Amino acid sequence: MSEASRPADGAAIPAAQPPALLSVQRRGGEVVVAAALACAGAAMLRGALDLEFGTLALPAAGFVPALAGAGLLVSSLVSLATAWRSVGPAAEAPVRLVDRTTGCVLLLLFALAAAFEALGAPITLGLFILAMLRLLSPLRLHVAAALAAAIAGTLWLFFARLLEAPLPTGPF
Amino acid sequence: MDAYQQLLAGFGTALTPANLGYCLLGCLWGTVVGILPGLGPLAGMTLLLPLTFGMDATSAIIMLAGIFYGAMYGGSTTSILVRIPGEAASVMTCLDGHEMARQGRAGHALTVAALGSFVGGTVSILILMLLAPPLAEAMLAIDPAAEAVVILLGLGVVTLVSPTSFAKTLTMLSAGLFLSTVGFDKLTGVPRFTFGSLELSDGLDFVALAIGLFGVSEILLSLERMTTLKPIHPRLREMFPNGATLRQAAPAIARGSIIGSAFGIIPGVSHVVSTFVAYAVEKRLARDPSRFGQGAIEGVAGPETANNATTGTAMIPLLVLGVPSIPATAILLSALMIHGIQPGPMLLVERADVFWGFVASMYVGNAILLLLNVPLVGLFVSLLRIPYFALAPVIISICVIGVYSVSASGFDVWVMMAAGLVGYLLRKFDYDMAPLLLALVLGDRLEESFRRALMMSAGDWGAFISGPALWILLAIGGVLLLLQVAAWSVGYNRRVARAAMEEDG
Repeated sequence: MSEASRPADGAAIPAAQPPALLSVQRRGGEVVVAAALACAGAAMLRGALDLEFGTLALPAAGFVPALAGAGLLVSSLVSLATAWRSVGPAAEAPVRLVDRTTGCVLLLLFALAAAFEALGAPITLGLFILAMLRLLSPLRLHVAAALAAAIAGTLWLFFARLLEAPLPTGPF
Repeated sequence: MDAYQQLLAGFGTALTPANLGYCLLGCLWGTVVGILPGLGPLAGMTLLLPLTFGMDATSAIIMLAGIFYGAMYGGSTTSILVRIPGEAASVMTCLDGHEMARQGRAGHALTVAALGSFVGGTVSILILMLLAPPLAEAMLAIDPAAEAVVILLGLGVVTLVSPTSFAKTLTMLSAGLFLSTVGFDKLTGVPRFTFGSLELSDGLDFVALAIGLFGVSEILLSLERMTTLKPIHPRLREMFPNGATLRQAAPAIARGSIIGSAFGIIPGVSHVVSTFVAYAVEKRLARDPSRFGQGAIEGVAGPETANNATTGTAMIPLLVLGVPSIPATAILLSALMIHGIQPGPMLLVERADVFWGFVASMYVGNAILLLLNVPLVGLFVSLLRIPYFALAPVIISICVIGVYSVSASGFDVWVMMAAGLVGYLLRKFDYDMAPLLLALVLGDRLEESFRRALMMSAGDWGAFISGPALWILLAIGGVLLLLQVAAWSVGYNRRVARAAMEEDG
C-alpha cells in the first residue's frame, strides 16, 4: 500500500463482508418476526388459560401469565399491522440475516452446547476456539491449534483450578 | 452508628486488599469493554457476572459496579481517538472530541474527559450517600400495593422512553413478564410452563438469558461489522491541558455533574439522555455555538461528566426501592439476589455493611479510574489493535463457562445459545432487549406484590390508589415523567437514540 493510500490515524476500516446467505426486505422481515411473536403470545395465552385464572379480586396462578400472553399477542399484532402498511425506501431496504461467517458461528455455538458436557470443557473449548480461529482469521492450522490450546488451557486453569468453577471434565 | 461512621466502616471494607483488587479488576475490565466498540457496560457486566458467584456480596457488587463506571470512562477513548463510540453514552463525545484529536489535542480531550468523569462520578456518589438513607427510611412503610405501583411505574417509564416503537417495547416487556412466570408459582406452588422439566421448575436462569440476549447476540452482530481501527496515539506529555482549557471546561463539568446526577434517577436510558441534554445545554449557553462540532472542549467536558454523573444516582432506585432503572443496574440486582440480598429499603437496615462498603468503593473506583486513564491511555489504545477474531472465541468461552458454573447444568448453556439466536434476530429488527431484561428481573416481584396486595385488601383494587405513600409515589412518577419529556424536548430524539443504541453493548 502506498503512503498516500494508507488510512490515516483515527480511521476505522470496515472488513469486507461475506455475501449474505439469507437476506430479506425489512418490511417482510418485520412482518415475519411480528407474526412469530404473535404466535408465541397466542401459545402463551392458551397455556395460561389452562392454569387457574382466579377472579379480578383474587387473581390465581394463571392471571399474570394470561395478561403477559395477551400483551405479547396484541402488541405483536400492532407491530405486524404497522410493518404491513409501511412503505418507502426504509421498508424495502435489505436486512442481512445470515452470512457464511454468522451461519458457521451459529452452528459452532450449538455444537459447543451439545458437546460441552459429553466431551468436557477443555476439549470442547479447545476445539471450538480452533474452529473459530480458522473461520475468522487468516492463521495457519498449526498456529491456530497452538493458540487454541493455550487459550483453552488458560481458561481451564483460571476457572476450574483457581476459581473452582464446577466444569465438566468429560470422559478423561 | 451515624452515616459518617458507617461511611468510615465502608472505607474499611472497600480498602481491604481483596476488595481493592476486585475494584481494580472491575475498573480495568470496564475500561476495556468501554473502549472496545460493540462491547458496552451491559455485556461487560453479564460476561463477568458468573465470576462473582464465589465472592461475598460486597465484593461482587464492588466489582460489577466498577465495570459499570469503568465502561463509562472507557467509552470516551474510542470516541475521541477513532470517532467510534465505545458505548452509547459516548456518542456526543465523538463530535468535538475527535475533532480535537484531529487538531492534535487528543491528550487534552482525554484528560478533560477523565477529569470530568471523576468530578461527575464523585458528585453523584455524594448525592447517593446523602439521599439514599432518608429515602430508604421513608420507604420502610412501603406495603405490597405500593411496591407493585413502584415497579409498574419503573416499567412504564422504561416503555415510554425506549428508543424503539411503543408496540415493540410492549412486546419485549410482555415477553419478559411472561418468562418471569416460568417455574413454580411462589404463592400457590402450582407449576407453570415447566412441561414436567426439573430444570424449569425453578424458572429460567436469569444469567443464561441475560448473557444470551446481550452477550452472545452482541458477538454475532459484531462479527458482521468487524473493523480494523487505526487510533490516534497521543503522547503522555500531550495529556496535560493548559490553564485556559481547564478554565473553559470547568463550568461545563459543573453543569454536567448536575444534569447527569438528576437524570441518573430516571428509569430508561438515563445515561444516554443525560449526555444529549448536557451537550444541548452547553451549545445553548455558549457565546459562539458555531465552535461546537469544530473541537469545543465544552462539547467533551459536558457530556462526559454527565455520563459518569448518572452512575451514582442510578443506584438510588436500585438500593432504596430494589427497582433497577437501567439494564446495568438490573445485573447488579441479580448479582445481589444471587447472594441472598434483596435490595430495597431494608438493605440499609439489615445489610448496612454492603451499602456503605459499596458507596465507599465507588469513591475508590473513581480515583482508580482517574489514576489509570491518563497515564495508561497508550496501553488502552493498543487494545484497539487486538483483532476481533481473537476476542470473539474467548468471550464466548467465558460466557459458556460462566453460565454452566451457575448450577452445573448443560440445559442453561442451551438456554443461553437459544436466547443469543433470538436476541440476534430481534435486534436485527430494532427490538430493544432492555425492557425484556427489566421485566424478567422484576416480573416475579411485581406479580407477588400485586397478588398479595389484593389478598390483603380483600380484592379491593383501590389499594393501588390510596394511602399517603402511594400518592407520594405517584407524584414521584409524575415528576420523573415530566423530566423525561423535558429531556426529549431539549435535545433527544428517537432516531438519534436508535443510532446510539445500535452502538451500545
